Amino acid sequence: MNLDNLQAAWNAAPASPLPADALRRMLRSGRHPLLRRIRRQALVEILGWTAFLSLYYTALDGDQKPLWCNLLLITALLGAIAHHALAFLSARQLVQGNDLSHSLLRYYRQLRTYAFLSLAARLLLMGSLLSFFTYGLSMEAHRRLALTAILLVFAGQLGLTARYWRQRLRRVKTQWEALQP
Amino acid sequence: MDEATFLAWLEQHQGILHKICRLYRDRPEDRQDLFQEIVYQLWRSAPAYRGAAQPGTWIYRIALNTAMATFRRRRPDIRYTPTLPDQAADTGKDPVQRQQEALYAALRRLEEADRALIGLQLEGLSYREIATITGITENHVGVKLNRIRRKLQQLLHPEND
Repeated sequence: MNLDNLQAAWNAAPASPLPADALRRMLRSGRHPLLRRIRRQALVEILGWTAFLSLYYTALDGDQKPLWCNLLLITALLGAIAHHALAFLSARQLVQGNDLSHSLLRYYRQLRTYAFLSLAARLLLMGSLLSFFTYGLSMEAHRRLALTAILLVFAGQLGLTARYWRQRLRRVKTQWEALQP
Repeated sequence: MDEATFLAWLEQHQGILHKICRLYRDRPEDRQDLFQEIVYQLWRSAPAYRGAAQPGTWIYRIALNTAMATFRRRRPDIRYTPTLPDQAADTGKDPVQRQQEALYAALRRLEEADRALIGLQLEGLSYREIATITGITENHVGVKLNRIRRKLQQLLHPEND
């Protein structure tokens, strides 16, 4: 196929045009697949953490723990919620420059910051939950074993999240680099 | 830009969006998601459009940017076909349709940035217009397109290697 054939094949691509109503629905963020997923996940987490916060002080002996332990937990929970809000805002505006190269670079930098904050929020949440539930406990052998298992699970989760972000960042960076001389 | 104007404009240019979705996604459901994402990003970017570029050029820039920046979840590629594997699947297709499928299959094997450049050239844009959209120099566009065309020919005609 020479360039003319390629162009003919490209231009003859059949596409069933969507009616104006279908296009109008796509303008609403409520219909947006990714934003809908983020919103749903954020809602589930906010409800869960709100229930936890309303119970933890009395039912989970929050009043028996020192102030720093309570503050750390509350900050971490707020951080987890803020992280979802940031994801929502970041997914809403992908295009950030006057040309493709510039926009991809800015998006890469934004994604890198978001990845760092996402990992930091998760680490803080894990650390605060562990310190809250283990504060004042005498560390007997079976508890130490359980704590080690929990730490391993947390570390695994964190490792998987870091890997996901590394892959995603590498993909955007590779595309930006491919446009450079 | 009000919603009605934007929609009329989008209806007129939506062929571009379908081509880009086909260029960057091979599964119909992924194409639908990308189409929706592009429409949403165009609408978000519309207030910043000052009319300095042609509408088609602007749509291309936003659409390519969205296609390249969005992350597709990796899924196992399991396809259940209604025909047995030893039957020719494309016997009923006309030559143009077969040529198109071969072209898109080859294009999707290129790097994503290369797909953007060759897509813009196939759309009939000049080197200058491609350089404006991508943010690289005209010379660089020319060098890259020569290399991409050679690679595309290899993919379409591996027997000539």
